[in-house]
Amino acid sequence: MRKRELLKFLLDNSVWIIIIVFFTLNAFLTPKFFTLLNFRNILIHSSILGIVVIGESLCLLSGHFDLSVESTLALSAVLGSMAVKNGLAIPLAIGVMLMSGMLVGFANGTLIRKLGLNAFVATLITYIGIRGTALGIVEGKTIWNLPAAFCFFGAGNIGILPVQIVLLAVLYLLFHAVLIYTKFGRHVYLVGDNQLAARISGINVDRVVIAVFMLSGLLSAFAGLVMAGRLNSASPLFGTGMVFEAMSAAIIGGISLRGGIGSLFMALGGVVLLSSISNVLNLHAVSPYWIQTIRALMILFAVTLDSLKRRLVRYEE
Amino acid sequence: MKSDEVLLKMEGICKSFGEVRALENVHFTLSHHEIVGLVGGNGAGKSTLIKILAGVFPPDRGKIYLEGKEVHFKSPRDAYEQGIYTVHQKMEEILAPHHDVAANIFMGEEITKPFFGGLLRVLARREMEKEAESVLSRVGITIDSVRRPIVSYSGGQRQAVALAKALRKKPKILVLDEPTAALGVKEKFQVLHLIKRLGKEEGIPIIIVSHNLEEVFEIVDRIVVLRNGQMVGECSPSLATKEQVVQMIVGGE
Amino acid sequence: MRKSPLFLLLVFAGGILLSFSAAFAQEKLIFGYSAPGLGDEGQWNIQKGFVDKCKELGIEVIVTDAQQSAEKQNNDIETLIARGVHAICAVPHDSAAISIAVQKCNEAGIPFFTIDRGVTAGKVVLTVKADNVKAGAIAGEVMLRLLQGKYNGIAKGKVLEIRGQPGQDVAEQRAQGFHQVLEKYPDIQIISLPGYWNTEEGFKITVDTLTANPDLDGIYYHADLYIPGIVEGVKAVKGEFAKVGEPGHIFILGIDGNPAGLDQVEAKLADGVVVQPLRDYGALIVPIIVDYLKRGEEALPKPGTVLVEEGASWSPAMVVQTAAGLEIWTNVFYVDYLGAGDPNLWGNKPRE
Repeated sequence: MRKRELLKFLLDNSVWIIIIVFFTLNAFLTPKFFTLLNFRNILIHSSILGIVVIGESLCLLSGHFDLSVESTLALSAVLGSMAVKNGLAIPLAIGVMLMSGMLVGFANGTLIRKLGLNAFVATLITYIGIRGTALGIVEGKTIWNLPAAFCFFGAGNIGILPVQIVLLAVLYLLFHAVLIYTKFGRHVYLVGDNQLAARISGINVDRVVIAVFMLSGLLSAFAGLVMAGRLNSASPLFGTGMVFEAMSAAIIGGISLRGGIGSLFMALGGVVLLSSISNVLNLHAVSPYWIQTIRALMILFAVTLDSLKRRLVRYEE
Repeated sequence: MKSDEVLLKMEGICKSFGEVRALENVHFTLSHHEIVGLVGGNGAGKSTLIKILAGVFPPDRGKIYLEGKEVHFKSPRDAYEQGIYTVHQKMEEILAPHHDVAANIFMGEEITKPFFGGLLRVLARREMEKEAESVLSRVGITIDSVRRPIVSYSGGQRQAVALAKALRKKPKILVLDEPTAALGVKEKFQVLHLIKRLGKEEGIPIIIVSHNLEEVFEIVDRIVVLRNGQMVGECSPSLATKEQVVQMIVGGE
Repeated sequence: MRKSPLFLLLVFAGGILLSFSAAFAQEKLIFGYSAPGLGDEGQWNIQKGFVDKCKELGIEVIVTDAQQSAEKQNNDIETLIARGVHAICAVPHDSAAISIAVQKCNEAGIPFFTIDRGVTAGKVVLTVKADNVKAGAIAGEVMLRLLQGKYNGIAKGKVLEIRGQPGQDVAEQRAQGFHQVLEKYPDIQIISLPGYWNTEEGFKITVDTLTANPDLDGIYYHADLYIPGIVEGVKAVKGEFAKVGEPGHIFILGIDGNPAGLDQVEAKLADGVVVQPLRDYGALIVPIIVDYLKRGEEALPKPGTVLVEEGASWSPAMVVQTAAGLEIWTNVFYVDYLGAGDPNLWGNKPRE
């Protein structure tokens, strides 16, 4: 039993162990990797994906997943940028952006709980529809040159730290606390672990699921604000392909596809690991054709770890 | 001395699923301090009757009286709140495998304590753990730690935890659907006696649905037989034989 | 009395015949134009050039907008076929998906032309696009000049190339031209990374490369959409952005010439862009379509020839036969700070 527990602990925290190994290796193998400036870059690159991954992880923990995160991000970026360029006060514009994210999330949750669609179909619909809406609103154009204050969350600094890094830390701590210490957080886990048991025990599954998707939408919309700020522009094509990265990061970080298992802290590890890999590949100027293959291998590795872990934890069948 | 007051009365219960008549004009009663065994073959209607009592769905026709008053159960939650605790056949249905005992026992009813001067409420983990431990010991189950996930326990221990969950707040009626079905021999024995002790010492009226006549004869006060959706007889285990009961189950006098 | 009914009938018939042939001779040509998405500045300009030329020649044009959907574009083309247009010209959103619609055109006997991109299957009469290889080469020449200027005549330095989607012909050609020019100089190092036509990816590449190579001299990008990422990336690493002519300036140049790109050049953030003459593709292709309808295959320019027209920004254009079919590769030209304000550039023309 002791050996099994130790093994489980290692596997649970595998992401951070891999990161330590990875960083050590690259300190020697990759020039310019082991510098403060480069680490700062890795964290900056992690911020947008990291925010989206919080929302995605919440959905995964509850036993679902959200394909529409990248579209919500784009819609929010485009809406907000258009608003400020047309003279709307920045706080109001940000409010509009966050509302749009919550509305998309509400739609997702309602499709799943009230219409009985499964998460894949429901969020696929929003994934396509919201992306289309973003494209339609700006007729495919990119909005450039945004007001500096609006770009604060993406490009600003608090003292010597970039806002994005501070945001990442604050949001992760906040949502980690919600998940571990509150009744709502416990219910998210329970719904993911055994939805039927949760329902029978009197947990309002509808409310939990809709809340989880609304949070995912809200966070994706917020990520859209950060991205617009960072790139000083808003394109309806923002975030294309991000949903795969988000799911990969969450799974590499130990959030189980089955639901009910995983910690946000580990998911952050997944994000940092993915960003580090991307960073190292850039520094080496690896042939572009192989980058995708390497990423796929990482995901395969992560999913294998996940199933290994589950098999260990399960008692005799 | 047993109180003969009738606690539960189900009258004229009928239920159909499409063309299939699951229950037809079934009467069922339960008194205080009674352990009743509900038996019958496959498709006899035992599960359906239990589910109606558990609030999973309403009967098509018929009435239910609890403590003399007519009741309607709108949902499983409603039945639970009115004091009817059901432990279903597949215990997977009521336990979250990757959560620990305390989390499972308090599922849906977690205790919270104020934080930050009452602005927020957080889970009161230690309180829940302590109470979980006390429920377990009251019920007589030995579990080494309330902190390990359910999935790492044996079937019997899991069933015991499911029972403890139902007993945390003393129910008016405890309904057990095939409680020992998935257990090994030794565990069957332990759970059965646990149930008997609960009925006698805690004074909780219990309905047990079971295939296993050995067990039924072992612990119940009264046996009710269903066949083809109808109640075909009842008897006392001390006065009837197993063969007679089998006859009633199978049919043909 | 000699005016028999037969005579009257003949006159009447003759009159009808005459008016018919007159109508035939004046029959108005109708062309169909299928755009992949008119929200995009570049696409809007290509379409405008095409429509303007048609108007000039008295040809009616029906324009459809696929709003970035390959499926909608196929529907659009089918609608054009149903409307009975004489020829269809399209900028494919997806070169593979559009092949279905191309085949339908082939079956209906309507000649199909494309601009800017080719198709993977189906018969296309002619494709007009920019000479991407030349564009890359021009960029390479300019970068070489800038580096030599910085290092007192010596050809050395470190340059970052932000590519498009690996494997895509436009990206490959723009890289090819650039590398062909600079590989002759062993002291010039090119760091080449794929941006997948994604602005954020461009930002990441800029930041990572600049952090590891603070002595980076220049950045060459394959499309203007990368610009915000590059500018912000430089700002993020260096703290501020040194403009053209200021000390510490990193040479930035690329391809396209869209309004934002030209603005960047005018604001002295970028050194220059290689412009594709998008507005003039129409002026080049429309007369060829008209001629083709009249004379058939003969009207098409021969591979290996060079089309020249004085004063046209698309000129000189090379005619080539590639695996994809007959193509005309138009001229591209470099525009820097001095020329960026030129109102004739497509990026500066207002959207009407």
